[in-house]
Amino acid sequence: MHGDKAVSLLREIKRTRAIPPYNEDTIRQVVQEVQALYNDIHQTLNDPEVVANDPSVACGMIVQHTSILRNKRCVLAYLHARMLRVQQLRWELGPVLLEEFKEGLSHQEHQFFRSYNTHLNTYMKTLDVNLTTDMEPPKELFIEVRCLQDYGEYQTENGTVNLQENCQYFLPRADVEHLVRRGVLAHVHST
Amino acid sequence: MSDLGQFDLDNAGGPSTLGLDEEEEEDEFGEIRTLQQAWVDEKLCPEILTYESELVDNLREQIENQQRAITENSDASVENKDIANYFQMEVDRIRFLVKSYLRTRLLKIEKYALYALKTATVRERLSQPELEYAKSYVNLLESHFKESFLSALPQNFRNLDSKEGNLSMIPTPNFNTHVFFRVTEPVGDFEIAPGDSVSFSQGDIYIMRYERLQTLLAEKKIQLI
Repeated sequence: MHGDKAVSLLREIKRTRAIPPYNEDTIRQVVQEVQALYNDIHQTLNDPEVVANDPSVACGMIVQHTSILRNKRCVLAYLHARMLRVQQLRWELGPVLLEEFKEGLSHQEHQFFRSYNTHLNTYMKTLDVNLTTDMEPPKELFIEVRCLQDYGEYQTENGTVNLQENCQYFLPRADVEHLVRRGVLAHVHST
Repeated sequence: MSDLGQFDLDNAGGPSTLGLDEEEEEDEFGEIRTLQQAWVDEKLCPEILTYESELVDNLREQIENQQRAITENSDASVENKDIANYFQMEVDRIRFLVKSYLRTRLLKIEKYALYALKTATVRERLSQPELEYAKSYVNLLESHFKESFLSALPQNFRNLDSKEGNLSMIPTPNFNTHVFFRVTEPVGDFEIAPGDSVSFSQGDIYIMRYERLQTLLAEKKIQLI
């Protein structure tokens, strides 16, 4: 039935919370379906033996036209949902796209990430403020963190710290905020 | 210890141990409290409100000054270091406030970019950098959709702002969202529905659909809670 493939895209994006691999095949099939519907409509209009005003003919054409619009809407919703998730990556993980995400994104989504990054940086530069830090209201000045991976030397405002796996450190919140977000450090909540 | 005495220890009106008199205290915190309310309003309101340019600029200047004062005194004695920590916390909190205000606005701008650019009243509420950002975001959106999908479609189906039977492609804020608000200035009789009015007195708290409250909020006669 018309529009089934487009709806399958929506189902796919609804069921995953992360970004599923870009479904280029299905999109191509939807484009072909749209092209076929479009050609059908034009064929009907150009056919000298068909009376376009006949209700049955007109009905068919309206169904085809509406199917094209539905396909367009579904695919745009799919692309938009993915785009928003890519956008979220910039805010959570920083200006560089991590390796694990690169494969699942289309070429255009890579381009989108880069351009989004550029525009965000331009805005932040105009205001001279980094909006991706201080994402949560500060509770204390220094926080207790445990290191989850061997990270090595890390520069803080009070000197360098050597971050080793499973060691706990008492560090200034501002310095370690982005490491906590990336998962290198874990915030230890005191009871 | 040098003159850190112009700032108070606790943002929320705690003990003023540094001899700050009443008036000065109001001035310092007046701006913070106003921006705090603007921040809450912005977070709870479905549409984009007017940019508080003066407040943001002034507070950012204060942040810079206080931060500089703290770093310049970083080699102070142990007890002064304690006090310096409190000043640092205050700076951190104000910094968070300003950034969160800007972030909340930016998120709304991204969500309603095309609508904001097309509606003159909303466009006026954006700051110049926000306006530029909205324009580039819309362009980014358009080119992304075009390259990923739309360019493969027949010519008549390629646009992004069509209206197909009452459903517009441009996302607009939902003015029918309910909001809680407190009345800050006496308003008197207010029409909440055609033919139905309620008397809004100062201090009252109500919940209502946002649509009719636009003017009241803009005139600062109510604040969202």
